[in-house]
Amino acid sequence: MEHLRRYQCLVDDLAAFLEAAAAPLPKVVWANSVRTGEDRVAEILARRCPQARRLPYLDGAWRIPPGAGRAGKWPEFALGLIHTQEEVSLWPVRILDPRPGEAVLDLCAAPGSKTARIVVAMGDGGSVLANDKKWPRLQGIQDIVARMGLTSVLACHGDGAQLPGTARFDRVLVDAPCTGEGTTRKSEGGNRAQYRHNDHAKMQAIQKGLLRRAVELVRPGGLVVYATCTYAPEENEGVLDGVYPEKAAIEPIELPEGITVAGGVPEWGDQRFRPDVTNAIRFWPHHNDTGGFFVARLRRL
Amino acid sequence: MSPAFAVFEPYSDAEAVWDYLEGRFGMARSAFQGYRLWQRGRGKTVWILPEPVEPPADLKVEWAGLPVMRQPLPRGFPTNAFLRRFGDRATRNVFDVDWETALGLMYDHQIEAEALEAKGGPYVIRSSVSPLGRGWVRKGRLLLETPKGWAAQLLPPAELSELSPDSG
Repeated sequence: MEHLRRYQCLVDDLAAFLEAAAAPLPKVVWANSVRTGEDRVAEILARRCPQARRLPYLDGAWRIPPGAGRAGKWPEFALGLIHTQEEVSLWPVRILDPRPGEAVLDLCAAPGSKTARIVVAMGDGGSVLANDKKWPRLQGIQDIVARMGLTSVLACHGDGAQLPGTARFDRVLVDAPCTGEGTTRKSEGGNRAQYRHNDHAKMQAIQKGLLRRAVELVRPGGLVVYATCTYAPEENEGVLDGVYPEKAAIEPIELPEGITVAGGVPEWGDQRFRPDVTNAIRFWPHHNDTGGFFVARLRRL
Repeated sequence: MSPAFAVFEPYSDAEAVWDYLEGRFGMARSAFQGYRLWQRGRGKTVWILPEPVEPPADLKVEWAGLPVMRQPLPRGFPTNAFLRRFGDRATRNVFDVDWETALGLMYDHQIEAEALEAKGGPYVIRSSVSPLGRGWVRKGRLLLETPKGWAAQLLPPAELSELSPDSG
């Protein structure tokens, strides 16, 4: 966790942050409301995991304590009635707020849980184009979509920064590849257990290409949500700073009472960012007992 | 200029699929109002998508929607995924089982049962919780088709409260 000390000047309580970043992570079970009712899932949880607690601010979602439940092995999971995910990963889709009938692009879609969450939020009515750079990872998305019985996903593969097409989407999610510093609470230290300090610059170049293309692909007035599971301002505010202010505005994000987040930072090191990056939000693990995440919502002008 | 890849097009034999679903399972055509069948190039899989979604022609779309059949008729039959999603609309050739039997099928794939008609399948297997998928009757046993390794991915039966000897 030593590498996380570089955020000492950003975080309100370094000791609490480091302690939380090393603690096991609760999981979330959410209802596939296309296939079943939330009441039915509540009954399942009462039987299989009485410790589960309903999350009032996330639709049809329950938090399961670390080590409890193993919901990914339940028969109801195999039948596609429920899905499991990390709690903080549900926020980008909530902030994207997709509506039935809309055309949505998930630019970096694998492994597919957020794609599925988008489709369920739209009542499986509309279209979600799930793109990923790595072709084999599309199979993982299809496994989730088929298991859950969702009909409105289309999949393509390619570099999201080069995705062809016109500005035809109502909403675009850019869940960008990142150094994954916010995943340390996952088993075996998350997906970036081996931290390489020069990754930020490399990732920033990729992320900027993805976000710029996302802004081009959303219709004027449409929304782009940019998200990473890392704390680094280079990969977050530094990427948002690469979008021309006349192309998209970074909007404030309204959150329900009881959710604590930090705003985006206007500067990092010797770099000053565009002023509206402060409307973005950063989830620290010790605030809401989640993983770490960064989310920004941009409105195409 | 035509694209260098196969594009999705409306399935030319869609009426035959709707007729088959109605004839075999009693799924009324009206139950699929708002859906359309698609095929990618000369691919064999038939896909279902909600209207008015149309796969874009300027992108190489790898798959679209939910697979209905992996083979065209008359050899084709509905996929597990399709029957789990839409099996509650079936009125014919359906095995309705209780949840305990459903779990038995999920773990052991088969139970004793007589075919509902001479052809022997495919059938929809449903429980009170959810449709389970596609079934066949072979030698007096009802078989639930499950993905390879499915049972091993499930919680051991002894850890399920319904099947535990301690449960009421």
